[in-house]
Amino acid sequence: MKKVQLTKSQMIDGKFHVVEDKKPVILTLKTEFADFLIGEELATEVAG
Amino acid sequence: MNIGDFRTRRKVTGKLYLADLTTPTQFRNWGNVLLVKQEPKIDRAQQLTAQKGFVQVTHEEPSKVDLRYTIKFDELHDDALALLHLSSAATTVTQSAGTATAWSLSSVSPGYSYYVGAMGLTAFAVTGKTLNTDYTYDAGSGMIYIVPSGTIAASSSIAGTYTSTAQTFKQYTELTRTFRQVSVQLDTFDQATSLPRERVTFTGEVYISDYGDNDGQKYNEPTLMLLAITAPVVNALEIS
Repeated sequence: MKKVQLTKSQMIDGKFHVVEDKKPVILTLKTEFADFLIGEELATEVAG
Repeated sequence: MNIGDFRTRRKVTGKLYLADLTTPTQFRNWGNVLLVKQEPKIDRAQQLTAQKGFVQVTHEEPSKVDLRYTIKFDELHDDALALLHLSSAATTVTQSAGTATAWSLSSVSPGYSYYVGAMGLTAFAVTGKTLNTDYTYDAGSGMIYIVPSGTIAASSSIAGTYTSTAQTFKQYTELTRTFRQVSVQLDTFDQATSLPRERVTFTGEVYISDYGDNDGQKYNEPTLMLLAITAPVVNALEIS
């Protein structure tokens, strides 16, 4: 598993995640999918 | 009214009004009624008298009276949908409009369909993939299909953007209400007068007894069962 922060509001697996300036959205995803989102610049890795 | 008058015969259509018991005078018109049928079910206890080698039925009294009406209709308004879906009143759910909304799916495989997350798509693309070669999609339902002969491998992740229009849905939760207790007003009309020939009022229970057919050939015509739990009062128009 890998923890990521979404770079913008987006729909992931049919669920909409809203990103606001002061309210980051951090998700823990399967490593393969997390790496995919990072590669697509839809998310950045978060330590921990 | 004289015997032989055409108005002695009954050829009527119905109008059904139902109201919640909490607001018994606030009726909902159930729209086009295709069939009205009073359908009492009466069990009778028979008194038997011995005769010469057989018994004769000499008296019958009702042992059970089940007074009900059958209504067939074809307009699926909010109240009808709630009963059809065994649901209490609907809640409103909205889908916001979105322009170039980012979407992703974590694990897709060829030959399967997936919901991207919105209906009513006006633009749709999968990053790095080709429409009709790697995937197809249905704009109305928001479903994407992964073409088996394309380049999207099994259990892979895909992403893209879509633009969608705003939508409003009525959301029913099944098994939250299986019947309703209602105040019933059933009017039947004929061609002789603009007034109802008969008005029947009672308190009853109502549920769907036949869900009709959805076969793409004809309109869905569900059947409503009205069970009287108070004695119905019938006002029949006097014809002079």
